[in-house]
Amino acid sequence: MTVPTELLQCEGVGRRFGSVTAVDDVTLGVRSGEVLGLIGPNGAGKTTLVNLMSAYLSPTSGEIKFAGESIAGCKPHELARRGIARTYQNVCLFEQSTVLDNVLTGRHLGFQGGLWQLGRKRHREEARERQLAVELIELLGLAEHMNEDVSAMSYGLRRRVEIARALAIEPQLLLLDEPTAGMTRTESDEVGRLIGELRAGGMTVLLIDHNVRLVSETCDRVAVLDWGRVIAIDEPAEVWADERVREAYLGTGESG
Amino acid sequence: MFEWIPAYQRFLLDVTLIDIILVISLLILFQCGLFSMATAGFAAIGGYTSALLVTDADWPVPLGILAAVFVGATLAVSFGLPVLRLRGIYLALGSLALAQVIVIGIANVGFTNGVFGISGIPTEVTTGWLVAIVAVILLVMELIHRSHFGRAMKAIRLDEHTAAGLGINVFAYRMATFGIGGAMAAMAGALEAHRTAVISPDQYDFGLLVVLLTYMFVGGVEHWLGPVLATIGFRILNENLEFAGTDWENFYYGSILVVVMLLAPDGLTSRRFTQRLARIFRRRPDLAT
Amino acid sequence: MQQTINGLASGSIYALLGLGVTLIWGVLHVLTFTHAQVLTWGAFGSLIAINRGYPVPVAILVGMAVAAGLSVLIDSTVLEMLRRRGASEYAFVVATIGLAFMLESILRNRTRARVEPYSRDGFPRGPIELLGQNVPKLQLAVLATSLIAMAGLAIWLNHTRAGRGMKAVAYSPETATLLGINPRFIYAVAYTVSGMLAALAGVFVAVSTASVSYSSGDRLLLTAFAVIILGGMGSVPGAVVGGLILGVIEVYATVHVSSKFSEVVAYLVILVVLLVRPSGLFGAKEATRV
Repeated sequence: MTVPTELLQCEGVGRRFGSVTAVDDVTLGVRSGEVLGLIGPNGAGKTTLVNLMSAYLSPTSGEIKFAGESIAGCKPHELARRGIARTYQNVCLFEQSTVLDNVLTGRHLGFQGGLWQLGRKRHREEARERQLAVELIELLGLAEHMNEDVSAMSYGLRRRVEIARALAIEPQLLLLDEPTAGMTRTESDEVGRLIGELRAGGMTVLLIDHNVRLVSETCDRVAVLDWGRVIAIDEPAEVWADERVREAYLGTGESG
Repeated sequence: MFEWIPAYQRFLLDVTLIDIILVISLLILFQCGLFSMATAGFAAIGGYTSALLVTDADWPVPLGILAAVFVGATLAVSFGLPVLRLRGIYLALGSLALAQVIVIGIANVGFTNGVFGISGIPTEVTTGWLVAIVAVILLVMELIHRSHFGRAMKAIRLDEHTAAGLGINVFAYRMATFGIGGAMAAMAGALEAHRTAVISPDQYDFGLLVVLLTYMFVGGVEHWLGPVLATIGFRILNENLEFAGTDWENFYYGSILVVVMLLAPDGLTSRRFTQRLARIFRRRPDLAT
Repeated sequence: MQQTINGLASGSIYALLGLGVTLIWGVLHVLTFTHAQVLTWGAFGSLIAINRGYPVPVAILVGMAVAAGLSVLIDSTVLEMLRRRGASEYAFVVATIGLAFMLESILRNRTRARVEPYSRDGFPRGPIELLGQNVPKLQLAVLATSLIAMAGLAIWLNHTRAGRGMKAVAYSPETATLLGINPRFIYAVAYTVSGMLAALAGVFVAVSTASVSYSSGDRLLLTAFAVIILGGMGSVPGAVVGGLILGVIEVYATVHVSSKFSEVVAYLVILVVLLVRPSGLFGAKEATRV
């Protein structure tokens, strides 16, 4: 039996804010090509962990490796360049801009031409990137909203724009922080299907979500975070059966 | 090339063109989400650098202006390096302090001739030069606007953290624009010195900044055309308004700034404002029925 | 010794100014560029009262009322509208710069840009012997009054309902609303106190120079900013200590370097603190970006 290669590795990662320990000694690997679910009660440290993985925060202890190399001292933009894209729990779009503008901004790294590149060459590059952005917008089912202002759009649509923008950087690893929060059931099913497609295309995904059904259906493995610690990591069915997981969720009232 | 224009109109054109360079130097920073108030300070540095090199060291005028550009950029970068890592309001305060230190410094050291300023500066700068320089600057602005560089700057202005998550090097962009902005303001100062032949510290006071801010915000921060049109418009307006040049002028600029901030903080040409206007006008027919 | 007292006296005026600015920053996260104009208007208010023959304490109260009224007016109109729109940080800066220009322009026109004499009658005069030194009574009075005002402010902030409410609003206006505190009332209180402190500083500046003009406050705006940058933005003890330190530095700079140099001390302080310790002496580490 071969050990699967891990694209992202957290080794004893901890993060403290003053006297509060948000993430405590987390050792966790995201395997290449898998969809790993990350669940846990509110305040368990899920978003902090994602912020650590995308270099928005630096760990106070431990180390994170991406594709075998440490990301210590890395800035968020460098990590994006290396292939990690993310969405945000509270949806961070460029307001007063169109869907196309948002996604095209995500294509930033795709542009090579300098300022002085004029004429046809510039045109061709712009057209190529625009085409890629349009394809992503279509993939997310947003074609009819292409030129709409994102500020006026519904929550579910905004989340989809954000996913399209994250995909625009052509990442190896996609971190989705509660992508279906505020979505209708049909909308979140679509997101589930999309994650399946991405997985089939070879993308590695870390999915944070409270929607147990979505997590069960789309994730290869699920990690459970409680009080900043990983209390279980296994296939979905095994995790739901785990005594400690039931305990962590008991009384929190969280369900699909 | 522009000798056919009557002298007074040519003077107005020259002044407007130099104002345009200053406004653009402020605008390019703002487009990157930087609110700097050091423009007048950089203009002073530029004006004095070139004026001193040309009058005291007998440098040719174009070389003096180039030196001014270099000094402006260097100063901007060395000031920006530590300050751009801080929250926005600290840049506003620091840049204001920097401008004051520069201007008061110039007024108090010996080799700049203090508050009396420098006179007899060679005036080789013609309207032709200014038109050419402004044309190049605006061309570059348009190239930036249409490229992914412009898109990245807008992203930084709207949300720097998200921009970074998309691979945009926020700090590098800000340093570059800060340097370019400093260089442009210094160049405007040098051109002004070689246009009027006389410079003194008091022409770089806080009032200059307020006027430039008015032009920029009235014109809007999305595209260079707005501030350029606003600069021209205000110049024409000032020529025809009685109170221009009187004590009430400050009141006039101050109140315009307040009103613009209340109505359209991104400027009168901003998308948000035009959409609001559109909504208001669309509502009219409903009222009639 | 004499120099230190000089420095502390002018420093206490700076501290009063800094307190007003830091209070507003702490509660509303707004940097008020109108503060110097509020000071000048307050000084003119007291001048009018003095010229009408009112006793000095009454005149000071009149000045305070003018300044507080002006501050609250600014807050409840322009700034309130900006807040409702969720305007960005720069919009507040630009709008208050605009307001400051309007206020200065009005005063300049009303006074025809003249420097008005400010009578010292009724203020403490002459020197007093202290520790073997001749110290002007006025300076001691300025120092003592300022310290009393600052102590009063500290007690008020920490031990009264309104003061604690102010802290709650500073922490989070939404939470404060849930606790039954009306943020708009707290903002008005903050601006009232800030205006009163500015007017007190304005009276002291006017009586120290025996004059007042539309531009009396000009230089003091950046001085006030230097004070709060030095002390840490939003910090009350920081503003007091920062103001006193700045005053002393300025006096020593005048004596040991040159009077011209002392003009830029405040600006240099801003630059040096930004380079070395942006959070100031007492500030939290909010200065750096995430």
